[in-house]
Amino acid sequence: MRRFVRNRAAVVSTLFLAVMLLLSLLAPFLSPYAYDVQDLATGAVFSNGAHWLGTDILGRDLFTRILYGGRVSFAVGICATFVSVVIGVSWGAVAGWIGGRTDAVMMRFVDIVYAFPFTIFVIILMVFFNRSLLLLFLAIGAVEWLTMARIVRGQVLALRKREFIEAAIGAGLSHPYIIVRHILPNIAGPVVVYATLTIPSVMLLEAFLSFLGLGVQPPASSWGILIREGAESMEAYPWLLLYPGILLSATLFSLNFIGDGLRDAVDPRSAKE
Amino acid sequence: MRGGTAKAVRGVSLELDKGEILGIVGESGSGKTVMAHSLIRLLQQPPARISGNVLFEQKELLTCSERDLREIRGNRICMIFQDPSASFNPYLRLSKQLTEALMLHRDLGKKEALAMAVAALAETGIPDPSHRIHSYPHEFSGGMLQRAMIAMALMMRPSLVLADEPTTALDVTVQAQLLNLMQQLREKYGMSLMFITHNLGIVAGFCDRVMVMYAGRIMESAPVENLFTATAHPYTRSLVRSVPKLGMTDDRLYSIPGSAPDVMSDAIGCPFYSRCEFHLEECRAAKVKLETIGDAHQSACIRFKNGEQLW
Repeated sequence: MRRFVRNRAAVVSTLFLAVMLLLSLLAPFLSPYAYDVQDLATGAVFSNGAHWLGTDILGRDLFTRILYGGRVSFAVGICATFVSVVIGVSWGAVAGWIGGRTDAVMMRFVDIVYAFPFTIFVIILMVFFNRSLLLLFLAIGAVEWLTMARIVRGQVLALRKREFIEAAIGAGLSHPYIIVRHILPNIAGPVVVYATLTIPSVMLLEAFLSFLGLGVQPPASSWGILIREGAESMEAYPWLLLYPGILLSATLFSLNFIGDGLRDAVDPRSAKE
Repeated sequence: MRGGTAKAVRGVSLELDKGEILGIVGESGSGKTVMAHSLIRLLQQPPARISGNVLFEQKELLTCSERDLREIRGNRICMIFQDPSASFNPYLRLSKQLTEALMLHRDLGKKEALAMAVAALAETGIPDPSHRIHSYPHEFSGGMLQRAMIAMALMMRPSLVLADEPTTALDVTVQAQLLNLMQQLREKYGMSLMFITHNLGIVAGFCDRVMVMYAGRIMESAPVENLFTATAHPYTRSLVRSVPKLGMTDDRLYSIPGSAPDVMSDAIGCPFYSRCEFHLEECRAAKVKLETIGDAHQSACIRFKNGEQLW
């Protein structure tokens, strides 16, 4: 904890992120506008007293859309990451613990799915099922778990051979108990760190999908949609791209710094405390 | 890249009575640890392969179910491992690790288990146990961790303790204290003990019977008194000679020339052949089998089996 606090970039990033999350959560209370109220008469406006960040072509307040967009992007980021952590850790832990042929089969499966082109997979999913937010979580989570599984499997494979695990087995503790109470605390470090690095990856993925029109559907907003709309009218109304773009980038940076900070703080090779 | 099977233990057969203290002596690499681990199926099979039988309190340990085995491990048979600092989970407090087995096997609540664990730590001479038990392993010295591990094993009052060099890291006063404790438990509860060690001094003063292992095989097995006074194997004799004694005047310490055979090799004959000062041509192809040569005394040396007196 102390070492994390010493990392300035990480601390600043955490504060920034906290602010962003808070704003997103409180979106309905922070803005007098709804995100889909159009004001065709006004059109796109840069910035004035009524609209701090301006409006888009349809007269919708950009500030509001950014806040609501943040909600979606963070929700997808956190939920999809959660899904990928749960699946990845379970898969990797089982493969690493059992070892042998089971491990080989499980990891070959991971390799095969890894090679599968993600975009096609999501498009197929989106075509056959409804384009819902839930499906988005699942689709992204279903792809992101792979690297987590690999990381966890490697860690568990190494831990399995350590003497204290042997001692635990020698004490008559059951395998599931050992995995949950002994192995998981030992891999928590890398898992948490990788999870914080997965969130930005997921958010980018969501932005990409929305950019393609596959993710969240208008009039709902997400940062991906905002960036798409902004890119379309980039020359005429640059602020429509600039604001969401800057915010997304800043959030991604923050998450990366936090991930770095956590990784350094948790590294067992540094002296404890 | 070299492949192959390392035969760490070759044809070991032994019996341990209730309340008996059996010493297992041998060099590093003689197979002592692997043998002890295999008794409670602690080796991952595959890649390891254990064959034979292990009969404990009327249960066949190598073929019984996992559930039965887990009932026995850490409960009826407790193992004390060689390296104490590696045998504890670095991320968990000692309180958690010491109460696990208690809560599992004795169905105790957290408080009672903690009280028992603290009492066990006190028994092994750890100061201020009620506070120290809440520390992490890295906050203890190696010697204290060793004591904690011994406490963990003994507090279950098992029928059999497999102790793999339990006192190696400790100074002699603590060592004496712990050996004393183990003696008391043997007298009070009839606890049997398989004590693996390099230290012939401990063996002489503490064990009832001794087995000498070399290259995965048992070379000699005898009641402790006889092992030293009527040694019946050249290897045992060399081991005893290697121990520095008070009053020796030689400039150099005796050491056995040569080195132990390759654990992968499949060679027949006596593994000690190349290092033995009493070897004969027939030792090269002789069958290394323990045979009784005296009162409860067995040797694998063919010359002793033939009735010769080499010294």
